[in-house]
Amino acid sequence: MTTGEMKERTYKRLDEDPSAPVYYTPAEVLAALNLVLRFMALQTFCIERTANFTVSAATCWHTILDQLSDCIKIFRVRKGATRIQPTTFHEQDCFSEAWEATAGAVEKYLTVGTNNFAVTPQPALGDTLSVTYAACPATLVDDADIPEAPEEYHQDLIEGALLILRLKEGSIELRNEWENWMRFMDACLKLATYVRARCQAQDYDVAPPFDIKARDASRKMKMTLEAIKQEKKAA
Amino acid sequence: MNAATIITRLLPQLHATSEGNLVATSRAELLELIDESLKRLARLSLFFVKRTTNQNTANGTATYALPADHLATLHISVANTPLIASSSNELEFQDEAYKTTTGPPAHWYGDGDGLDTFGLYPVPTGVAAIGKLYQHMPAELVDPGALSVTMPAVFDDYLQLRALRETYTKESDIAIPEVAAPLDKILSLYEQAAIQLYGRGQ
Repeated sequence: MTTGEMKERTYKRLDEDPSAPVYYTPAEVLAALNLVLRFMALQTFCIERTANFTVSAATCWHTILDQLSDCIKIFRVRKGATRIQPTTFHEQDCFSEAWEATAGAVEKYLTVGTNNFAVTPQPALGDTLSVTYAACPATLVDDADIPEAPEEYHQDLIEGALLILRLKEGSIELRNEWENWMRFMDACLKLATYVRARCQAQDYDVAPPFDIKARDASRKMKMTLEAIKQEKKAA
Repeated sequence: MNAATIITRLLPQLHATSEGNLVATSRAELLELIDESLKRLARLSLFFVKRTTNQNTANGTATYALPADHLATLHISVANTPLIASSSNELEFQDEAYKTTTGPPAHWYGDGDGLDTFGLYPVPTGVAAIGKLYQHMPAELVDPGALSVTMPAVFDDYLQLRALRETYTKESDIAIPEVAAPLDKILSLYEQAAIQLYGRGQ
């Protein structure tokens, strides 16, 4: 589905004329679609990219986002056909007192926080590593753009966007969109399960994507909104 | 992340077409909310971690100041040699004169002289770079000069939704308290993601 098609369908779900919307601007709908697309990418790791990362000469610590600005989490690092093993600084402290200043070809890498990437040993002349990572999706801008999420989940992006758009209305309009959000979350869960299995099959370094079912707030949310509804009735 | 971009995205959600016709809030207030959300992320998880080597040991100096934005120390090295994390109790047990014994540093401790210093044991006798890897508070957002923070773009939405939540739940002419419940649940998913991906804040 293209962005234009998704916007049109979203408008129809909002009971707006796509050619002449009154209550929701096209920019607003586009922003909501981008938000749920990013949310899906974060929750499911469905967007995977591989790119080169330049290791500076004789340098242990680097920043990830300078070179991989769309990186959420690194899955795997390779040098040609050789796998670079993940490690932690605690582990490296146990192995070697000089791991931050040892010359040689890269054998291990570690990440700390969102933006710190260290390698050990450090190549004297620098090197280029191939990094596979979970990525932020490209922002949808034009009507011809196609979301990077799998096509079978494009409809679910619309379901999620409806709640985001209705937030400013509150009350019954918001309540009515909650079922759509639950369908969106169910879709995210299904996609996350698939990506998790794929990560395990690929033997990626990080733990598989978190089990959003365990933190699925949609069911708790349904109870919360029912409680609000009952309170309003009582009042 | 650019806070100005987030505010632009918030405008239609706050029934405004420009910052000039915002009701019951303002650009300054939204920036404060975004700043608070950023700091909340910084405390909850190891979202913001940096490594600095801009401090050197000094001959005979046992304790050193921590950076102003310091939240928790993760790793310290001197001349690229990692130090073992210890405590004053542990070091005092080993050596009663731990604050004056000199030699190449092998341990660091953070419970010596208040919350804003750390110590090295043995006390260094020369000059060497101290490599500090620590969880830090992001810089305050200052309008108009400093509104950008380097972070994964997916978390910009966390800042946006939290600002929306706080704006609609405060007492005002545009209050919509019922948005708090769904937004709290969505925001908790972002926070859990940050903790799971990058580690819990120390």
